[in-house]
Amino acid sequence: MLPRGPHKAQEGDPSRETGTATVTSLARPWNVIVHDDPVTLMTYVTDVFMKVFGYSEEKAHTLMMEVHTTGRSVVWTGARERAELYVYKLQAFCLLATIEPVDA
Amino acid sequence: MKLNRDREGDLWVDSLAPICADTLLHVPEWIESDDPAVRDRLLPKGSSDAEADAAWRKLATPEIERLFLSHSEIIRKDLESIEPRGRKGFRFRIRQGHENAWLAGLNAARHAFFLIRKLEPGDLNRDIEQVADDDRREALIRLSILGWLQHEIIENG
Repeated sequence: MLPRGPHKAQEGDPSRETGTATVTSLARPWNVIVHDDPVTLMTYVTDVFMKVFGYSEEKAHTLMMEVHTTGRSVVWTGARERAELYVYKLQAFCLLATIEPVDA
Repeated sequence: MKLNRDREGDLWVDSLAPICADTLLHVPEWIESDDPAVRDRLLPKGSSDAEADAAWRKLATPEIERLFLSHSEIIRKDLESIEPRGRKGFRFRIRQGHENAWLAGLNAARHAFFLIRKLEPGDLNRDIEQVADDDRREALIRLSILGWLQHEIIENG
């Protein structure tokens, strides 16, 4: 797993017990976004989606086409730690990938 | 150029023309380029959220940089097997288990080369034979060689 930032709310952590906003912030879902670039091959993007997320070829192809035609695609949504791990893997394959909170 | 997988699971890249062999031998150098534009592309931002991006730069970016250097070393090691075979061109072996390092490394090399040679997105849609500028045409040929090998590794995956 990726190392996390300095703030992690744990059981017994005062910020967890008294900081409602902090707990809400940690719990909210994050999107994994893949952005289009002119250089990466379409077949390669499909292959990476299948490897990183375990998506079927059909789903991976659909998401790749959304990236290609609209400039970006939300390829996964969920807990921040998992989203960061996916972006790490996607960037390691040299795709342009970012995370953003769902309500951003 | 053609690919075949042997009984041990290694991929043999065979019948390479000299320009193909020469292009592939430069892949580690392109991945490791210290051109700021290349480093920016290979190590992009992690989030549109400022706080998340700052944490990303501090914690994840160095790890991704190390991964690219690892890909580069794997590719350099496999390329040590490159050998001329007379009229059959050059050949080399991609060891079993190195395919993902090659795929990621080739993608990184394509991006680096695209920036180093100052190509533009519109160049990628042009018919290479119709490109009048010799330098740009040669760059597009080398870029397509990298893409060809990526495609073939996926097909033989």
